Amino acid sequence: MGISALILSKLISGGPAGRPPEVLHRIAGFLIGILLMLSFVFLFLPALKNLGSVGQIIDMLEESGIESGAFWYANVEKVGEAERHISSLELIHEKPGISPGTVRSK
Amino acid sequence: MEESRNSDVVVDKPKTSWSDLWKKEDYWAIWLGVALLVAGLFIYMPNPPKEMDAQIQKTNAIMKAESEASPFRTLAWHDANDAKGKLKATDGQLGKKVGAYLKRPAGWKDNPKEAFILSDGAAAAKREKAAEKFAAAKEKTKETRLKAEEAQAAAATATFKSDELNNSARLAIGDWRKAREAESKAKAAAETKPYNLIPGLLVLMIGTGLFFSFGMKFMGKSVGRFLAGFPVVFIIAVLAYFMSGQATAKAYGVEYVLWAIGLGLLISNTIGTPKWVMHAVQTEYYIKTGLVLLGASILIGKVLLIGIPGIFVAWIVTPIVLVCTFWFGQNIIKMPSKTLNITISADMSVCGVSAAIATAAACRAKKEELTLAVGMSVAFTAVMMFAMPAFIKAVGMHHVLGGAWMGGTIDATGAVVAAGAILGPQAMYVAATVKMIQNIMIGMIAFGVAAYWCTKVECAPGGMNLSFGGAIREIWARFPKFVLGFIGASIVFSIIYASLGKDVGKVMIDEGVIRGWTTGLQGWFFALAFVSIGLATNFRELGKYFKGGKPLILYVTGQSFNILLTLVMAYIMFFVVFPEITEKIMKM
Repeated sequence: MGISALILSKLISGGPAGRPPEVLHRIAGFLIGILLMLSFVFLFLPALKNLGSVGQIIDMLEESGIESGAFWYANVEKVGEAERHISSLELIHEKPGISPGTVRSK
Repeated sequence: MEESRNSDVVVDKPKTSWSDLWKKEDYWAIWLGVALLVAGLFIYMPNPPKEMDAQIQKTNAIMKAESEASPFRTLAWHDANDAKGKLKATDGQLGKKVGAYLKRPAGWKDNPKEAFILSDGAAAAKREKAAEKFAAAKEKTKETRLKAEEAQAAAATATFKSDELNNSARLAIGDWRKAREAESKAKAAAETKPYNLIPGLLVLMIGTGLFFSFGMKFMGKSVGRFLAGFPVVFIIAVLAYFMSGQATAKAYGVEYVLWAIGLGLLISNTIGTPKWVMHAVQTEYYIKTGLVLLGASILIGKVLLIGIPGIFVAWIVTPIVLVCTFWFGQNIIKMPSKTLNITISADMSVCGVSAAIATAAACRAKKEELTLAVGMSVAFTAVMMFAMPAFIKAVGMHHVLGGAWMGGTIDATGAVVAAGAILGPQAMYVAATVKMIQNIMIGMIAFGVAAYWCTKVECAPGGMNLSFGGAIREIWARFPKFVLGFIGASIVFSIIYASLGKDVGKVMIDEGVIRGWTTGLQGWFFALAFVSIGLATNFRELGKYFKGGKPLILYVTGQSFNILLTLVMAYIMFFVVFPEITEKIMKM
């Protein structure tokens, strides 16, 4: 334990390096943090499924594979589908679909 | 004091000289971003899908003829639309090869190993497990297709003049679409292939590290030290993606940025960020380069996609909410930090995390302020993603109105699509389109904020006495230059997109350069940036910014106003001024 604490104290920074109890204290904090994160994913979020219809919706979203957390439109597959459908309504007059020249098919 | 402030801001203190072109991070973000965009164009543009023009022509002709013949979207229309949707430049050989090196860890549910490796045996087991479901889904598709064909034939016999027959055909086609989507999901599972993402991630790590080290060298920083610390930052970014790929977390919308900040904070506030890693903690450098890439997907021509109602809901309401929220923050609740105020206001009114990143960089917000804005956005987005569709269902709100409302108010695009999907396809299409139009606005917002900050907020003392030329020089000195790269990328790609025409543009730019190349890289750069923020942030410092709960009051008040104004505007636009657009959407 002495050697590993010494190595860790050399590797980490942010405070006086060296005293094993302090190093262990930090490692304990880190491990507790990891445990909290894992509990959030594997205990808290699944437990939320018991709230009303949340469970059904989550199951539907898991099944659909929709990227619920993606913040930018280009990261969400379904936006492309929505765009195709809405654009086919021709709510505005756009250039025709084919552009001669720039890109040629093989 | 100014010195210490600058060490924390998202953008560094501007000074002008010719050497800035190769010594400053802002310019390096532009050079690197432009190099990547040019590379993307070279990878995808010469390799269009086989017979693309002919396919587009054929599908367009079918869709046009079917739309003219029937008041609803027929089976042939959907077949043609699906065929058109399959045209993607990313499916080219080179595109696929490149894409393989940009992959994030895969999604997983119970077995974390599957995020990185899926053995032959495990893939076979998955295929076997999914085979039965796939067969059943195929059967269901066949059955619903037959019913839809019958219903459509009946409607056609009545020359599409019977409302009753038209409606039953529309419903039968809707059932077939649902079954088809379920089949396509089941098919993907039934065709699971083995993979090992670790070699690709290693190549990406080395490539990205070397790529950023070019700029580091010219900026006078130690390349060796940067490269020594970079793998640690990259590995934490991989872990952030790994955590966000867990099926349940993903469904709740807990995205990688939150994990990246969380993991970074955990390390820096417990075991401490090693000093040798700090050389690779380059928040601004990663963010600005990512933003230049993001600029390429701000395709201005798309703002008119859903007509004038979309412009009003996304482009009129949003700036009003932004300005009012900022004013409220400054004058009513007296936010102590203007940069935090504008970052939260933009994040809440425009499009969440991406707007927060762009605005924070444009106004030189502190990293803690960006962290706070992102944290609040993710939390509120998760709540609104469930609450809004539930409310819309409960009150029986029209789906077009509900979709436009959610698209204009929920922060993250993914959550908007998820909330829309809970209601139904029409709501989802409207919500996603309104959100996309709002996404496009961040170029203008970032430019506006940068211009406002360097002319009004950060004016030099005695600036009022400057000559015109002096004032211009002062503004130029303070203007965050990378914003020009961001806007420039948007303008150039918008021109390319428009010159190709919407269909070819969609295949080559949207489904090629953007989805295949820039989006992947930009995601990795933002992940590196948020890991860096976490690794350099003291948790106690973060608490100070939340003092008095003012950021929360600002967010809640602004969002309440946004919810109200968007609803009123969406109602006026879709039901009073342009009801024919709503009618068209409902007939889809």
